[in-house]
Amino acid sequence: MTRAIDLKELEKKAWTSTFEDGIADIGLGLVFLATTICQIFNENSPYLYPLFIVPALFIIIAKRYITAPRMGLVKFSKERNRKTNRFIFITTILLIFLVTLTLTAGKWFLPELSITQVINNNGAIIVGAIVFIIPCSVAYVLNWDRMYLYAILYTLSFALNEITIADTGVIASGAYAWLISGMLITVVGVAYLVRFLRRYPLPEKEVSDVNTN
Amino acid sequence: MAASETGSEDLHPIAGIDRLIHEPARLMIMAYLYVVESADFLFLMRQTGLTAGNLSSHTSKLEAAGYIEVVKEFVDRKPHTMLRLTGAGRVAFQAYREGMMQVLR
Repeated sequence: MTRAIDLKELEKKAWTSTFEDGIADIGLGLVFLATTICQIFNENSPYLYPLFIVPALFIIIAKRYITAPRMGLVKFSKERNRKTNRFIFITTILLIFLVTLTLTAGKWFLPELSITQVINNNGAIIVGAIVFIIPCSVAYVLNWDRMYLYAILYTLSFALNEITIADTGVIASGAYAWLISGMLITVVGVAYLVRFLRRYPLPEKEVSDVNTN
Repeated sequence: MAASETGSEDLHPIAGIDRLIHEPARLMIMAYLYVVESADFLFLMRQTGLTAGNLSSHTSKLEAAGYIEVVKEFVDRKPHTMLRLTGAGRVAFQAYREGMMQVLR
């Protein structure tokens, strides 16, 4: 019986159950769609930045009014928070190392180039690595497996966006990559949300304040 | 005689197993509360698959034994009940796991 209780697995199961509602997916999809809008209009306009508050607000409100009444509330251990902080620290060091290595390697292979030229030559690799590593790190820390797929979509969107803009010279032309990825992620999120709502209907009577005595 | 003594020594850890925790539903509750800081009634219900009545009855027994405590909190100005393992509950669960491992080894 004890062999059947893998506490790490149990903690992971409890943790990943908080992603069953698809709300984080929809929130991420909305971030992509907000990026699309910024691309279409003017990516540098600060007036468009508040658009990115919408996904955050959506997640907070949906978690409170959709998830909590159906799934209940849980506070995870401090060990999980410590693990998250440790991983953020390691990822930051790794990114700094990666950027330094890319620059050093570039300078080593092509000594005639200045650092600025090396950055210009390797900028795509550096940015690409960062763009891919950050969401992968998030996926690992949060035990959110779908996020690995989103990391690929994010990197592809970023690359397609840059290539299209370079080809056409029009910033808005790269928006389609964000739009397609954003819609895909949102649809996945909605599918999970529908499944969650079916699986966990609202309890018939209030059970959140049951007196155990 | 010697074999019988050895047999009873081997079985000795079974006698030390905490019967209160050994019941599958209570074991699930204890295990979930062991891996999180605290959880409410609904969350435990969803995770363990127990009915409200069943869960309530088992948590009452665990609370009476001093293994779990009920913490009243206010969420959105509404009273909310969170459950968590006490220090004694944590020790008892750990001892139970070690005891079971000894038995099964």
